[in-house]
Amino acid sequence: MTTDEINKIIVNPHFVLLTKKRFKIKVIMVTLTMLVFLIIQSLWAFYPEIVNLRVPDNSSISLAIWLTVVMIFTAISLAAYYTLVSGKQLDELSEKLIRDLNHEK
Amino acid sequence: MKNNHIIRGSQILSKKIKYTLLILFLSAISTLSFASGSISGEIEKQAINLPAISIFSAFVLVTIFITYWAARRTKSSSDFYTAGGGIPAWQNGIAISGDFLSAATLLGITSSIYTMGADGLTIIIGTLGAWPIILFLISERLRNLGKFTFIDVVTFRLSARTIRPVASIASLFVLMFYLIAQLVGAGKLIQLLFGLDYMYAIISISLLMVFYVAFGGMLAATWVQFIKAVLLIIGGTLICFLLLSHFDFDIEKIFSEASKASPLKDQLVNTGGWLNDPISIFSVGLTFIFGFIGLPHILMRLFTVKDAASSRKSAFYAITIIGYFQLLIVLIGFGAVALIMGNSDYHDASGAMIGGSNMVILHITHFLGGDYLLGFIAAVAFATILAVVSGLTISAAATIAHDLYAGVLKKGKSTEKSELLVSKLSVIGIGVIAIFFGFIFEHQNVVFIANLAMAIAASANAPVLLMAMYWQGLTTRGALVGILIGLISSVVLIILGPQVMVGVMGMDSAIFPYTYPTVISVPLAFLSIWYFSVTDKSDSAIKERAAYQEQFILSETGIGISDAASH
Repeated sequence: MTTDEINKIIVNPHFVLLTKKRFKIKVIMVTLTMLVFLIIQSLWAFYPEIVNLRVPDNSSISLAIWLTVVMIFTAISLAAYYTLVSGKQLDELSEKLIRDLNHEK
Repeated sequence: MKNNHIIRGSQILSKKIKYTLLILFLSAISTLSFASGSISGEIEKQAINLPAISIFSAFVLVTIFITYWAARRTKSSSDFYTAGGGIPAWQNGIAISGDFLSAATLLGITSSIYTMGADGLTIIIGTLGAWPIILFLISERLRNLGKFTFIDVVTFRLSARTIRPVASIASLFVLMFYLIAQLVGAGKLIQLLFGLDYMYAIISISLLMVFYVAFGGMLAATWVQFIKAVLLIIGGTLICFLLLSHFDFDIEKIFSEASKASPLKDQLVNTGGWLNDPISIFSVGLTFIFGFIGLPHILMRLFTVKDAASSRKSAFYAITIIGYFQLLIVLIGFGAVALIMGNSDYHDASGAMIGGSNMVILHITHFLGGDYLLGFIAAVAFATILAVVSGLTISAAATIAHDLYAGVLKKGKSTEKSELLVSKLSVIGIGVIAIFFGFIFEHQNVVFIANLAMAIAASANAPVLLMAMYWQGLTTRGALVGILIGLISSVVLIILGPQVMVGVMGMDSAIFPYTYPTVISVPLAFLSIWYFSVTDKSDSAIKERAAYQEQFILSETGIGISDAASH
């Protein structure tokens, strides 16, 4: 890629929008994943009495097991949202950018 | 003239390798038959093994046909390493899950839940915490920046000649440990099912692995992983259905019966037995989060699709399948405690589990579905190991041939044919090394060996890959020191830790008190990458920082990446 091409792409409004949007989505998604993960990890590490709680009291299933299930569903839901909703929008922006660049050529 | 001579020479050598591999494959099959015959006196074992042998033979026959088909389509190094980038996203997603759901998951996590109860779930939480991060941060950029291996991405704007040798060694460490973990699992499994000697088992599976990969490359490996993943999901779902039906579809009952059967009683569903201090818990979390990001064979699968969007979709399909399977594993693990703990059919006179602690899933399968379901799951477990070792072997071959031979030794000037030849020779070499280390590590828990690989991947590969993709300030010096410190610190701390000093050497206590070294080695790797990069004032460092802009554009848009070859 030549310096000229780089400079053209960097200022292209579609590229600016694409990178801004992608950055925002990534930050939100990573934060949400890490938040759930770190909350579970912290509970496991510092509050085992909470992780070992039974809900309801007479249940044979501890909160540890439900937290594992929460982690699994969080991962699948966030992945689905990122791929099927955000990904589609980003791909459209990317296509617009490529069309723009081809048109300029 | 000289070039023609070299090409002709490599064609002859390539043909010789094909014949050698065919002979190796036939000897693998005959080793199985011979060893099966050697246990003919044990009638009970033969009766149990027949369905397993039939189903597994069918799997092998189908995969031989696929390998033959794939071999005819594997002509270039791109075909060999990444199937020409022409795998559809959905198929790649299933194949990724097939590559990922290894012996460590199938045999190891069920065994961990069986012996440790809720503490075994930490591994599942780590796995599902890591995969979305791979999707959000790695999948698209990696596909846009790389060609065959993650080292391509790291060296995109850095000095390849400096980085490739060290990064390749770190990669090979990870791949070999992971490969050994799979082979140890395979050895035990075949020992139990076919009554084979551990030695025959390791040799047979290694020869099959060499056959698949050397002939069919990534295309064959993808299909093997795909078929195996489908079988695994069907098998897992079936076991869970039978388990739930045994307990009248009352999940609560599974856990209450498990608590009654376990010597841990109510503590079975409680945490704190295995990981009883905060640092150990965070260390396990760090190992999984960064470990999966740094697994070369999983990253390599993201290059087999045509573009970043397909890579993203692949990762999503993989997460869904892996998540679903982990849910099944939770139920199966606790169900096994309820149904087979203390059952004399599955334990010997001393109370030890027949076949070793990794065989939990097979015993519960036999309990719920009898010989035929055991046969099916055993064949699936065997296929699981074959699929995973194929993925690991192709990744290790790519590291040797593409990163070390073509990138370092030939300084990027090797011919396609010679690189392909080195890849195939590497596959044979890896097979031999895997057999050797399979013996050495025979008595180790498969989860432990896989975790060694994870710790090294987390410390040596993941930090430098993330920094290379997202930090403009990274320089060759920083990357080099980061990889070295990550690799050395993780290996040294593992050696000084309880798994080696207490578990292997028999000492009373370890110098480093934690099983997983990542709580030290990962931050150390990140810090050293940062420090040695920001203090790098060389001319090359200035150029490398300036080159980030082009890398950024390419990683965001994929402009300029080559179109996928169609298959």
